[in-house]
This record gives sequence, structure tokens and C-alpha cells, in this order.
Amino acid sequence: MAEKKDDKGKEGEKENKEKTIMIVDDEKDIRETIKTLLESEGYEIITAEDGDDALKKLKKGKKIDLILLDIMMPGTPAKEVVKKVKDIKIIFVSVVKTSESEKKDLFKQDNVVGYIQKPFDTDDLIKKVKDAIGQ
Amino acid sequence: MNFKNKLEKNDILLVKIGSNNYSKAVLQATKELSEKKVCYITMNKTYSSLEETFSDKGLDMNHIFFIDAISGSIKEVKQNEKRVYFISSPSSLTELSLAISKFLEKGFDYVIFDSVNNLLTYHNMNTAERFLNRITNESKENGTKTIFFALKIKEQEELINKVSTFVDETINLEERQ
Repeated sequence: MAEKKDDKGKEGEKENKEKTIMIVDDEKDIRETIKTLLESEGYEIITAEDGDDALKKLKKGKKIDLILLDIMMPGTPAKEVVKKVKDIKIIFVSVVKTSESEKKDLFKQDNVVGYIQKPFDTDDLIKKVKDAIGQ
Repeated sequence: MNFKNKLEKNDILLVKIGSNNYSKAVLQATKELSEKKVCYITMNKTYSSLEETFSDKGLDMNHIFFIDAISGSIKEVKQNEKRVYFISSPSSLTELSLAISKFLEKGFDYVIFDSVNNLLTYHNMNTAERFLNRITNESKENGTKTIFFALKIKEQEELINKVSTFVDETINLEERQ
């Protein structure tokens, strides 16, 4: 039974290896934590330390399937980053507390597919990523 | 812990709290002080979310006015709300300082600063310290009593310790409760 689960897990990791996620967060600890977590799920990870860094890295043309975007960072605000990225799915990661109506507004752009409140539950984060771009 | 009583004896308080009790303490302080004119400076919650929380908890919002340094970074804001002034970004300290000065000149009884820690996301420690020291002095000059809230985070202890040198009293809330 355990062997089967391991095989399934490895298959999942192999499939995920084709998916690339960009983590944009100014806090190194958070970037590295999420990176380690999602790499263990088989995703390929690119990190960016702020909005400007993210936009610069996106220009390099590598196919990105999902961006986990910190909502409050120094430099170019997340709202400006989102305006420039319309063809990649985005999940906001936020330490800032917003109202329910503001959350709804954040989802107005079609490619915004999720919202994760910090501090986050790791299982919830993985689930939201999988829901967004598949296993 | 009664914040109102503490502010009868002190002009400027620094309240250090662990993350579990943080929101509860800030809410309690706001509730206690809201009988008089309060300027609430938010660096980590939007005005809209505070309005939502305070209404849910039955706070009388008539005397609470906000300086919101957050909403401008996550959405388009219009300066047409009577009880809130939006700063374009928490990194704009000049804009924030000017807004605080204007508010203080209007005569507020209390300022609640939520929170010291958030400044360190956008500014280095010296800048954050100078900024907080300036608010302290301005509050005193205007006769406004101020509470600085700070989340107990080990990596940010240095700033919190520096702030404690220019306030009248530092309260370590969890140790006292």
C-alpha cells in the first residue's frame, strides 16, 4: 500500500516538474519556506524579491504557470504588477488584513485565482496551488 | 490591562504583544479610547477591514478617524471618505508624516499606531526610529496621547527597544496578563 502511494507521489512530482511557479515575496524566510514546500511537491520554482524583480524575471520569457504574489512589498505595488501580468494565474499571499469586499475586488481580474492569508497553513497553500494549476 | 487608565498617567505608551493576543489588544484599546477623538494609523490592515471588524464588535466609530497607509497599495482609492485619509504607500514616510501632522493639528485626544513592526518592511531601522521619534514629539507638542503597538518579533527587537527609550512606559502585555 505504502509502495503504491510512493509511486503515485513520484508520478505527481514528475507531472508537477513541468509546472513552474514564481514566488514573489520581500521576506526571504517566506520565499524559502514556500520554495522548499512546493519543490517537495515537484514544482519548479523561481523566486523574486519584489514586484520589480518579478517583472524583470518574467521578461526573460520562461513559461510560468502560477505566481504567488505578496500583496504588500517595497517597490512596484502588487496592484501594478497584476495589471502587467494578465496571462499567468496569480494567487495573492497577504499579511495585510483586507475586508471581504476588497477580497472580491482583488478577484476581478480573471487570472487572479486565489488569496492566502499569512500566517498560512501549509496544506492549505499546497491545495490552493494544486487547485490552480493541477496536480 | 486598561489602556485608558495607563494613558491618564502617561502621554506615550509602547505596548509589546505576542501574535496570539495582538488583534484583541488593539481592538480593546480602540474601544476604550473611542469615547474621545482617536486617530488610528494603520500600517497592516485596510480601513475597510477595520471598519468591518469594528462594526462587528459594536465599536462606536463616530470619534475614530483613520490614516490608512495600506489600501493605496492594493487598490485604487478616492479621498472622499470623511473619516479616512489614504497614503499612497507605507513606504511614503513623508506623505505619512504630513498626514499625521495635519491630523494632530486638528486636535485629537489619542493616536493609535498599528504597528511599529510594519515600518521595517519598507524602511531601515534608523529611518523607522527617527520617524517614530518625530511622531512622539509631535504628539506631545499637540497634547495628544499615543499608543504604539508592536508585535514581539525577535528579529525586530532592536527597533522596539529603541522606541522604548523615548516613550513614557513600555508595557509587555503577555507578561502582565
